[in-house]
Amino acid sequence: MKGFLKKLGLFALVFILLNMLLGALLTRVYQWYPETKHDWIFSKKDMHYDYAFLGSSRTLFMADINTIDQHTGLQGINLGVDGSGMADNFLTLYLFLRKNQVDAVFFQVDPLSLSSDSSFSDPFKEQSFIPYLNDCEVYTTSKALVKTRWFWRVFPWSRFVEFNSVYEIPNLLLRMAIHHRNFETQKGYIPLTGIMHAEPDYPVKVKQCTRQDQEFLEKIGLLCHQYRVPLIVYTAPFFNYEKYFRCPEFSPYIQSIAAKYAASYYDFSGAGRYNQLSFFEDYTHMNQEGTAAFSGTELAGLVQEYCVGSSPARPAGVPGRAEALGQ
Amino acid sequence: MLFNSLEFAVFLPLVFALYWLLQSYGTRAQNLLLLVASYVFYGWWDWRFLALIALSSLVDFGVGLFLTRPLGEWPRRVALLFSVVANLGLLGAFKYYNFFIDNLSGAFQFFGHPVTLNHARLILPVGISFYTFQTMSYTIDVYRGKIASSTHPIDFFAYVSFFPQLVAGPIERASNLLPQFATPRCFDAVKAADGMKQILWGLFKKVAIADTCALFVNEIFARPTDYSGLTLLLGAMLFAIQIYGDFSGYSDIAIGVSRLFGFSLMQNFAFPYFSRDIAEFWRRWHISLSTWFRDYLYIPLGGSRGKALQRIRNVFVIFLVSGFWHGANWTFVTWGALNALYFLPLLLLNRNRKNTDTVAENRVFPSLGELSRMTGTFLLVCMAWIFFRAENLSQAGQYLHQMVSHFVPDSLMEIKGVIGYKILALMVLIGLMVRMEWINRFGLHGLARRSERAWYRYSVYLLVATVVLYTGNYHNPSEFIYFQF
Repeated sequence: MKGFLKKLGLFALVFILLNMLLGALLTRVYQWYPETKHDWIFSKKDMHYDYAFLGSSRTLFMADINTIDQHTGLQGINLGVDGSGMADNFLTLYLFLRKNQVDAVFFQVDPLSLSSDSSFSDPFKEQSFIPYLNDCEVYTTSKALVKTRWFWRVFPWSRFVEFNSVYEIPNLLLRMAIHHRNFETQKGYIPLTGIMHAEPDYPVKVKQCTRQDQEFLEKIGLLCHQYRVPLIVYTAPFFNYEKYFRCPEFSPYIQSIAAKYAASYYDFSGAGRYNQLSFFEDYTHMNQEGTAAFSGTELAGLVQEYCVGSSPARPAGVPGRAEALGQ
Repeated sequence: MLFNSLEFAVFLPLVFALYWLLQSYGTRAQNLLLLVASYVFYGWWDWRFLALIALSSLVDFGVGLFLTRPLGEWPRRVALLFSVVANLGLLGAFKYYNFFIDNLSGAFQFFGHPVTLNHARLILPVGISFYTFQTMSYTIDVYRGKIASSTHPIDFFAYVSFFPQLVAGPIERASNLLPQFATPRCFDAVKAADGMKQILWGLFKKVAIADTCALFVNEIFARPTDYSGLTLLLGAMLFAIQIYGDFSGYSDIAIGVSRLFGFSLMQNFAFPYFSRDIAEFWRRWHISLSTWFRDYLYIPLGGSRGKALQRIRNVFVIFLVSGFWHGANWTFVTWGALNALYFLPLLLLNRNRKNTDTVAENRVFPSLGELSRMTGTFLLVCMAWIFFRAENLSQAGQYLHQMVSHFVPDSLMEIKGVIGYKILALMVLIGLMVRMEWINRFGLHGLARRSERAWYRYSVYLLVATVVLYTGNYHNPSEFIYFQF
């Protein structure tokens, strides 16, 4: 028995050592060939951006940085990650600001991202933050959300095991050669190409902001304050927002938070002129065409206003932000 | 509890450590631990299932004791009948009741007298077909005087519920496994090490091969009319590999785990896709079930003796029953019938025992003839698997029709569209499996060979373990296909 256990222990030890090496190698490889948006964001170092967009899929798919840059002549980055809750957003911004500089953060918030537990299947993507668990802030944040954080801290390589469906390691070499995801050319934005052909027949979703999301939203406010980065909060368009969502507490709450951190808040959720099927892939996401329109006017307008200090030239016939909002 | 889950990764070392710590307290203490562990293992799915397995064990333990009394032939027969009816009754109620209801109402409708018969809301208990057959074999063997009945309830209950092979076999005979519960077990380091290797190989086949194949198979079988025959053929071949990896992977893990506890289970798969004809395939595929049917059904019916018609009947009976054992669906019955049709010519021409050796003995590679016969057998088996995998007969028919009528794809990009680049990674993994199984085809599993140098062998183990680790879905592990049977 002793001999068997000794052999088994030795095998396990070599196996763990091998996997530690492999884990370190994979971490590096995923920085070179990022498969996830987080990998790409955290591979940035010593960069300076005029502005950054932060948020969930309504940022990832609906903030076209190239379009905004074209309109404004500035350099921005899209930090949106689909299905990300507030803790996810907070850590993304925290780790990004630790290594990079940005002049303004435009933060997309809506009732879905403030009730992330029920709205998103995977609101906290712990696998992305495992390599940074030695950082006190990352560890403390994970503490509230992930029970197995101590295990990740000791065996950080095991994230590639537990989350291999995210990393798709068997395909790694192949992807490196021919199919790696290129976030760089779109500056973090991913266009959606589908079109919503008919209005969906979904029941109304009643959302309640969760305490945890509220807590991390405040931490985002504090973080920007600490780095002296202006924070601008907005809600992106939905298709027939009022019809599909009910969250009476959202609007007063978000306005109070914005006021608390001296941030401006813009609500595009029900902006009537975007409320057309051809602009959406589904009722919560605009497609490429809708995004081009939204980014070229509203978002570019916001960036121009807060980063340059004046409104951009608006194409004739296109209503301004205040008009879109009915103000 | 699944073998490929994190729970089992904790459960197994714990039970292993306790089991060998109890060695000094005697075999019965170890058996009691195995019984408790097995009930925990089984109750992990649904604790209500435990009542069924306990009932099944109790019936056969009681009947076994009854049969040891000096009784006349009739009471003995009645006791045996009671056991068979109780076990098949449980199986029938949980597995076949709704099937019979459907077919009965279909028959009434066909004859113009539609009736409304209600379905029963029953959950099929995991592995019920396996343990009922295992416990039935005990009673039949006691009745036949082949084995003595067990007098220790703990030994017997532990034999019926032995967790490594409880839910998907091998279906062990009492004559092989039950005596092992009665004799002291000593830890054998060589056997345990080989058991670990077999567990590793089983996990590789389940996690890396079967679960990856499933991604493509599910996609292709969900929409057969969207694809050309070539893609559908690939889908059938991948399902053949999936079901082999899944089921033989389970058996390998079961046998390997048993070896850690000092038990020897029978070999359930002997590299069936290296078979040169269907008869050889059936000697190598799900051996414990094939031999069960052979011993308790085929031979009592007369086996391969008698007139041609009688032999044909016997072959059809055994294959149809085998198909029906797999599930309450005509697809399984058709699968059995198709295999009977494949097998019959060999039987009638007395060629069914032509290939009783292992292919390419004393050679590294098979001859061209052997290779073509293996390929032909594999393709025949693949055609039958289409019925096995299909949801119903019309889907199977649609699949075959599309396969024949539109064989050539409009563009090779169709295959890429279905399966993406992952297929290349899967091909590498399948290549590794075939390579390892080919060089180990005289052994018990794909990592059995010990002739290479230690550094090489350990490098292979490390590679296989790494592949298992990085291809498995441990967040949401998938069940084994045979659990549904």
